[in-house]
Amino acid sequence: MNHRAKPRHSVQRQSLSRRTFLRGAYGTGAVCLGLPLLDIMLGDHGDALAQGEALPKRFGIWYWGGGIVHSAWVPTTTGYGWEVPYCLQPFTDMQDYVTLVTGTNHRNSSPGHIPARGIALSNSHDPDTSIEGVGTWRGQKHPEPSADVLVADHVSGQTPFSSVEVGICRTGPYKSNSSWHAGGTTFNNHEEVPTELYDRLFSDLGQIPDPDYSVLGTSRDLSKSMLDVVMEDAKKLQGKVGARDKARLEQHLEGLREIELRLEDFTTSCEVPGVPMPANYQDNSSEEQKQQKSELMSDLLAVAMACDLSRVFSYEWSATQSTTHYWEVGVFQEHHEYNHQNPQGQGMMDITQFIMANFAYLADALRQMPEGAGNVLDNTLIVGTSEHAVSGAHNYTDHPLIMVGRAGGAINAGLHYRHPDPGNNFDCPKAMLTAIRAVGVPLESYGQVGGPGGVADRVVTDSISELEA
Amino acid sequence: MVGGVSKTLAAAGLLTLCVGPGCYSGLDGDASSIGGESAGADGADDGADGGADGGDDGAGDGPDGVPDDFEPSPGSMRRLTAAQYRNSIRDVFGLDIEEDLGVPVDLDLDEESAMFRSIGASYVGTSPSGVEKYRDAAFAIATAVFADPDSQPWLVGCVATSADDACVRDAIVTVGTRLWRRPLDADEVDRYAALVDAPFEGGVDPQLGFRYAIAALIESPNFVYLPIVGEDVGNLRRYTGFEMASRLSYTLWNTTPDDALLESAAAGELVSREGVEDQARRMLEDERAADVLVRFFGEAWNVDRIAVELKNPEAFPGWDQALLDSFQTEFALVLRDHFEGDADARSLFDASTTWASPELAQWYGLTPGDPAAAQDGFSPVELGEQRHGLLTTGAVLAANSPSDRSSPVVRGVFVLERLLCGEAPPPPPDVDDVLPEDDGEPKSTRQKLEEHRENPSCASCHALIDPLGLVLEHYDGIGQWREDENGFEIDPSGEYEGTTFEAAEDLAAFLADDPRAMTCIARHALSYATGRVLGTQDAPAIAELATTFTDSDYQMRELMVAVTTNAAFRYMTPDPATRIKGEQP
Repeated sequence: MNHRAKPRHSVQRQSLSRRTFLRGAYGTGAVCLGLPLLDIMLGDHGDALAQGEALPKRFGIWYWGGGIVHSAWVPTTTGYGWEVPYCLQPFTDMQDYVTLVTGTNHRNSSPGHIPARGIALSNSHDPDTSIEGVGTWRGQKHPEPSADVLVADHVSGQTPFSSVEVGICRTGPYKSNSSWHAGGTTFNNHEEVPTELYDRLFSDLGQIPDPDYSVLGTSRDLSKSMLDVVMEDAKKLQGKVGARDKARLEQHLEGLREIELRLEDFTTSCEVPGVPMPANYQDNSSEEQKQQKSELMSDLLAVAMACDLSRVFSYEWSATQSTTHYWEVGVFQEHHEYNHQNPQGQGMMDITQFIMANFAYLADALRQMPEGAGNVLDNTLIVGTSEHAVSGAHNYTDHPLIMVGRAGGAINAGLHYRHPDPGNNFDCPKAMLTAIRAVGVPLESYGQVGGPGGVADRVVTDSISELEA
Repeated sequence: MVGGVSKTLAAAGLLTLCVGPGCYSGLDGDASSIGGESAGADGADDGADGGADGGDDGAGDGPDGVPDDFEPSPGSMRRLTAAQYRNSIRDVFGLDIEEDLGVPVDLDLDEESAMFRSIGASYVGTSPSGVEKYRDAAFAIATAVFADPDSQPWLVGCVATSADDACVRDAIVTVGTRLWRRPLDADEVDRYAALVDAPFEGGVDPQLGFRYAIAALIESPNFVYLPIVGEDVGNLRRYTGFEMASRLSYTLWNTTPDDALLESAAAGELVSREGVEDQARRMLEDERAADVLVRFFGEAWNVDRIAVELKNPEAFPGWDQALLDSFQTEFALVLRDHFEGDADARSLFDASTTWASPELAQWYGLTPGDPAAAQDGFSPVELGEQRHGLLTTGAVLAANSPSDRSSPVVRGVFVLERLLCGEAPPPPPDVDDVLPEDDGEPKSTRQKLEEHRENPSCASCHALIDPLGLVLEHYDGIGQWREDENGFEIDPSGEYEGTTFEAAEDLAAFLADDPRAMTCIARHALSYATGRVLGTQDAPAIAELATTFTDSDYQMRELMVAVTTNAAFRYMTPDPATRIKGEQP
């Protein structure tokens, strides 16, 4: 099966990849989801693990570029039982899983898309020109980690993957730029091909040996010894280089340690699913079949969460300043330019609704995964947001923030919370902090202390108590 | 695509960037201050110490041609770019990871937020998924290598039986030295050879362990990164010979050092200015150096970032991959021809010929060239009245335009920042850039910009930026000639720093005559080679390079020799530790 659009040469060597080999060993077929067998690890009541630990909580960021249209986004009433606005109609049948925060703003410092991304996802943005590697004022970096990484850092070591990153629409200048580590120079790479996400998730777990092991990477013994040698190299290098490079090598070592964890400690009771690759799926460039791709990715991600392969994900539906074409709703101009010219029109409403439909698909996939007395979405909280509110106007006023999931009961799912003083607050980061705390991360504060360039401190320390159950 | 400010401008459209009235007020009439490099413009002040030319110590220079006023910058470990990784594997194993392995080897994305990938490579970190990709690549490459053992001299006849086998240890040394671009120490050889005896299914499998040892050499951070340690020399820290071999090779060839470079390093020749110059001159004769020059200008002028999907097909029905490919081929052939002919870099701006296929010539409205002189179907073509030099090629014009139109603001910023190394100011934090309502009246772009400039807070900057872009308005958003825009006749006229432009030809002549444009190329070259955003400490080096460039009649080859022999390329601060991004100072 060749799932790449680009033709490959040297067919003879095609079987030489460990991942391809392992994938072949599992066989091919239509989507066949693994059974979330966590149930066998559950105690009698189905609300805790047999060892007495609470069920794991999952946290995800679902990010899209291009903002919203307020008139079709903000419900006319607050509290519960709100009439579902046009853009959010895909969530109609799971309104009791949706917590909508409106009327909150971010503290602005610069209107462009990149600062906006940093502010929306990490409550930090640093235009400091004096920092090595960033250089002139145009270097726009985010010193604090994105919210998903904040959570992943807290739970790392407990699951085979500290986080899983998925990207759907890949056009625009800043793809794979919505999840980053502290310091803002290491960005997680969003997997953009469904079969490669499959390989990433399962290729170290199955370990079905090649009969003569000629495909390297299929021997767990030797893979472990090899990893030891490589890690030793990284540590020795750390002793020789400067502080900044030492930190970069530490970041590299963290990746190696995750692999080590998978090779040494991890066993899964989860059934590895078949390869999710319908014959008619060709498009990894994501323009033609973005919805189909998103569904494939969402199904795999739901398995990963249900099987506790990871508890954190970053879902980049579209990149900051996305230039995706939403032909599905009859808009043939790329999103960013279109947005600038028609920021509040019907086309933008249709685009936003289409984006939300893909978000809702993932939420529903998690809801379909039984866990304990409920389902995985009950123990998950996904924060959906975008870089701007009205992206065509580059503003952060009444910023979109939609939480989906129940976070194990820690969040008032179903609530539409509207800030009592819309437009005159900087409380949007408090909503993100609330979500992070809801999944059990006892974060004291969120965001950047000491805003640069005369901007007031961004950091927040308070939750929005109305959201907390 | 365009960089930060330009993106902001592109995003904001024509009418949105208002900046404070103080814009440039301190610089009026002092054009040489743009970019903070006035010393480099004429070279008269700083060239006096003679350090630039002879390679020997001049008056005022310290040992090894290091100027007395030299202020080093921190060294930084670079990660191989995806292209460098691919090129290196090709050179070490004769394998193309894309074409030969049959499976894609996706690596962590290059960091492209700065102008040059070499800069991003100097600070980017590797994500967990990126670490996995390097591991998978190592497995795939080593698997392919052992599937075809006759292709590797070090592997012929070598069947491992234990970690002590001479052929195994030789292989680790041979492959390791090439991959890591330096000799391995005894401990490293021992640790890697030990994989031959590593546990396997309750016993050992020496031959299989050998394969994992080779895979580990590829996975190692010693391959993936170019570690920088250096050695102290007086109060400076110098790149070691082997570090310099890599520095030269990835700068001038974008790939791993060849045997001659490693031998030169081993012989201690690359710690002197003369030794570096000898190797640089040898390397600049190789066609890979011409490829690098194309890449250098492609990155500096945004051309390598344009992709077919970045244009709106409704706005430009003629736009497709074939046209983009022909733009890229033209751009590469012009630069390659330029470099190989040791031409004067000023002609990049005012050349009267280009390279075009018959189809591209027709697209430009030019007479196709002689098929007998064709390379890849492209022949030298005479530019007519409408085109002048590289700036008016489709590649450069399309790359520096929004998706659906031309933008004088985007192009003006491009000319100001990328060609003159000036600086367009950022929008201040309090700017209100909400799009104004369109009053529905059809207007030309020029009219819209003029209305915009009626706002005094917008005018001071746009008066500087806009003329540099308006003069290119005869070319649409993909670079095609047009007489009018939406029914409005094009008026490209304008004035910049007292020079009157009537047509693009005048801008071409302006750039060819202005020393700042040449200094800007020198500045970019130093930034590209050192993988750094330059700072005030680099002013003497830029001045030195500008002088050498001028004295050589602006030959790119001589500029690259000057860059790679410059102290700024060969020395770093004694303490490579720098502030970590995000760390509190």
